Amino acid sequence: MRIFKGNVYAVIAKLIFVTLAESMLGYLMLSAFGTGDTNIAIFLAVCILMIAFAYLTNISVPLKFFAPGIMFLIAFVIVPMVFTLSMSVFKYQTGNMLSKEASISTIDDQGVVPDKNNTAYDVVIGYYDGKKSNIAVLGSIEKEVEGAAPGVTAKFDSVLGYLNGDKTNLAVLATDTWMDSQYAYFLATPSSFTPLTDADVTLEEENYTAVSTKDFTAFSKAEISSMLEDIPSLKFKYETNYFLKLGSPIKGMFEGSVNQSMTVYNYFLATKDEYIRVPPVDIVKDGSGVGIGAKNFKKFTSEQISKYSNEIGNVRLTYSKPAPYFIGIETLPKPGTNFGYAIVQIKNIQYDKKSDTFTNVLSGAVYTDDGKGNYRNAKKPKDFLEPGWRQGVWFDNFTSLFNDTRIREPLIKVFIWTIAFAFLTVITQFALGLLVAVAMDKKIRGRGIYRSLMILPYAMPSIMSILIWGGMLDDNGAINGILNISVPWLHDEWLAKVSVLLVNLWLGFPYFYLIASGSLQAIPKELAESASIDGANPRQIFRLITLPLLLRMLTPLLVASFAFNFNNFNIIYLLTGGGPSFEFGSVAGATDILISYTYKLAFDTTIQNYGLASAISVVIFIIVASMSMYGIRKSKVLDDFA
Amino acid sequence: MFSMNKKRAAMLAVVGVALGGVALTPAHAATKTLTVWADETRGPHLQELFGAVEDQDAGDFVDGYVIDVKPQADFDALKAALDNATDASGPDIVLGPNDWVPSGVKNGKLAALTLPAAIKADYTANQIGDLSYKGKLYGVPLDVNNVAMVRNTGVPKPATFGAMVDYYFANKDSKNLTAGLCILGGGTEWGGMSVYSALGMQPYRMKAGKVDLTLSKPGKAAASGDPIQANFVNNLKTYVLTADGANWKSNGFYSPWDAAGVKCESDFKAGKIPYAILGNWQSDLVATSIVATAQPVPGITAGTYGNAFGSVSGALLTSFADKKGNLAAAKSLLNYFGSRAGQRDYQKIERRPHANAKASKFGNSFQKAFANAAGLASIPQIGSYLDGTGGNSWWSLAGNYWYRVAMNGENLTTVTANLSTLLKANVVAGSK
Repeated sequence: MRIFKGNVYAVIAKLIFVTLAESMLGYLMLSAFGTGDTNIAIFLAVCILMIAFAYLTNISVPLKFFAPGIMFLIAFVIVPMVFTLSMSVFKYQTGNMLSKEASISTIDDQGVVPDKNNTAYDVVIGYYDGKKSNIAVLGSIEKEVEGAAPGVTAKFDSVLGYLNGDKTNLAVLATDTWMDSQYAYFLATPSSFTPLTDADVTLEEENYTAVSTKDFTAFSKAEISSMLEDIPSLKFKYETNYFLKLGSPIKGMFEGSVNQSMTVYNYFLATKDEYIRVPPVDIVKDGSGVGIGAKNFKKFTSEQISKYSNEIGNVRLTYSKPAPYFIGIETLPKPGTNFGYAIVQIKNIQYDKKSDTFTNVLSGAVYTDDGKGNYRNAKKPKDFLEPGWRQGVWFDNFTSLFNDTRIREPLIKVFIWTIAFAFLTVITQFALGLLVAVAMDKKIRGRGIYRSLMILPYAMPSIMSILIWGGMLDDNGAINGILNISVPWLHDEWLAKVSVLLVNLWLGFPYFYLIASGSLQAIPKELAESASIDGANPRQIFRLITLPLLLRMLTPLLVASFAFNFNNFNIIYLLTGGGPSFEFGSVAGATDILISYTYKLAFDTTIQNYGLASAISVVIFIIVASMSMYGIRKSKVLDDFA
Repeated sequence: MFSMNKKRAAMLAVVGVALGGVALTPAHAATKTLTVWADETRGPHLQELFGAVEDQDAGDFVDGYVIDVKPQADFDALKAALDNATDASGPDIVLGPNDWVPSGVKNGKLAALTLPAAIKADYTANQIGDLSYKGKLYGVPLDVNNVAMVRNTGVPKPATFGAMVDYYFANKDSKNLTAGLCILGGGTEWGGMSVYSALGMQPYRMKAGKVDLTLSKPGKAAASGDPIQANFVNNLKTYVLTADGANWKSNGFYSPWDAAGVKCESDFKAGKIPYAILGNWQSDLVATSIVATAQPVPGITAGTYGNAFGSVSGALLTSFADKKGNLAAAKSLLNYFGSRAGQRDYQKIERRPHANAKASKFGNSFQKAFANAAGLASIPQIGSYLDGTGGNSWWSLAGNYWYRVAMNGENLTTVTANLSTLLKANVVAGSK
């Protein structure tokens, strides 16, 4: 194998380099597979093979030099271009971000609603019949029942009446004629209980029964007769957890008995296949009667809960009502407790793969693929399911650039300004750069220092320069402050354009100064001397000889600069943010160029429209590529290169 | 030259090291992990609440799980991270504002949950509505996002907006005031909404807990749901603008952003601005005695107030939780977030007003003052009515409007009419 031919240190260095590169790419590849980025993982796998092929074999020497470039070209130029191009023919925006498969899966997963009563249970989570895969819940259905309070035998002779003259404000005045409670007399309403003393009541002489007290008026016999149907359902407050109910009236007097509300439970076990009502005898209960264990049911331990949490979270257990009803486990048991939380749900949105439709089983609505990235109810077009998916729409994004006035009108303004901005930038930068270069072409004192100073704006990071200029041009910035003026440099439509051009001139003229200086040096001095002998003055020499020669040499760079400024995102976004807006509320601003407008459409608004932004990007690419090709052909650079 | 054996050995070494790199790939931990993403303030506070992952006993909060909180660099980074999250990389729960819910659902990033009745009962219908979309709940309210107006030491409590303006002009020279009312927190669009509202303009109006969709038509009298009330322009002229030739400009009372000679924070702290809008995340910015004066911006008549946005931020359930097999566990943690104990524990560190009304009794004076202000005058922040389309969002309109009428001297009537058209369009669009 000739790969190990050569200096031993060079071979070791190569092995180390290749090993490190392969290891790093291998690590990244597995991470990409792990996170589900399969395409990236495949690309990295190809890169690994390519490196091995290029550097561990001797098949192609040029490949050793080209391989890194090819990989980076694919990763950072070709793939983004292809992706942008492909997205431009897709409906790809907020609400249509997923693949169709993912969209169907999400709609299906989310297509459940609680039943209309919001039925929910605290449940014990476990498994049935000894199979841990047979997840089950043990639920206790609480039911309030009323009955005679056990152990409380007190009966009261009671008068039914009302308080404060309001016949809706019901009350009973009760007497313990059998003396078997601690209260001789009391006044009770549905919400209050007031013990009374002898002094508070007036007694009926025959039976020593209280018949009146302050603010209390007894109903007449006729009134009681009209209330007979309702009286059995009346409840008057007694002591905590107890209430008084009235029996049948005898001579206008009722026998009041003490009752109690009690909680009883029915128990059920729900598995994937069956809903079982479990008799209380088969239930292990806690102190309050809630079921915590049952025959053939085994509660999951904490470790098992953790182990099976995925299955628990997704299981659909049988309910007493048939499908689409089911019981879903909403939460795991709180640490240290027995109970999780389960709710009765309805699978209301159901997918039919054969017909590729969703149906709402509750409303009967059928949702079909509308060809625009959503399942839509054909009978009610505004009714559609979310999320949608990225749908190919051919050239809809491109046609909307021309047909949709909301897009077209700002786009035309932005396009015109983009051309103007790029053109004016190149002209002004070239003019100033050339002027300075011509000035510096003469031998003057301190020329080296001047040259260094001229290059400073170019040497400084442009982002920093732009932000500093932004601060200085702000309404409250240094320029207005020093000059004591109030000029809206960045907020007036035209002034903002001028500001952008001036700042860009500051940033860009050193570049043209440098290349113009170099080009001036390259023009033979004899030409100027000959012209001078022939009687040409300096202006004529510059206009008719120097400038044409310079333009001939610099045209490719001017075209390249035009193309660069056509997409000069930084200066626009950092200085003005594209603003001020053309119209109150519009996305596009007076200084927006196509690329900044595209960015706003894609990322800076609530509704992110990547498809439309991609379409504009493609248009920008075509324009810039055309201009570049034209410029290059015009300057015959390719011919020379060939 | 190497011998063949050495060459083979070298080849094996290359393969071995490469495989070693592969072996470095992180192994899946035995303990299950719930991942929570939050911004740069909530994230560290949650880490303090749950503790470092390595210090947690699996099951402290959810049986068998540890909680791994990953703070993001800032709010925008958090949103970008969520937008770019994949099934494998995404969090189980993300802490975000209510207006992330609609886009989160539309993009399949969020999943619905059902809160136990006992927890749900601790929240108002508006709070639940804030985190709901098309009738389904996608998170648990955590804290109330709002601003309140505070006044400087010695400044009397204003009964009306006019009283504040009067105080400013009466004391402007003697106390060297640079402005009357400025915004310390929330910016012109969010914090300053309560000032617009006090004067008669807000992005939408509420009626019985829902957005009032009754809008007037051109040439008709203002309807109950009009974002701009009939007296708004007159109120602007009376209280915050002054004539400037044919147009109007700011009279210097209201300074929604720092301008020449007006620096809200330093001037307010120096006593040169009597009133300021303070955000409920700015508990350390001003003295406790000043926080205690927190109230809504007073309206034109006594007893009325300008509405502030009073929505909730929530712990939102992501669809990634299901993809990672953590659905029930994530919902369990959300129940903890929503419980009184959870809110008490978290807000003790986070120090924002509790969303859970029952838990708010555990709050400090700052939290209570802001909760009180929210209770007096607030409207929910409903993204579908605010975000608009084609750039007509409240967020781009609100500051722009003030700039145009008060600073750029544009025609007040025309600009206001334009604003009215755009806001009404937003209300109509939001209702669909």
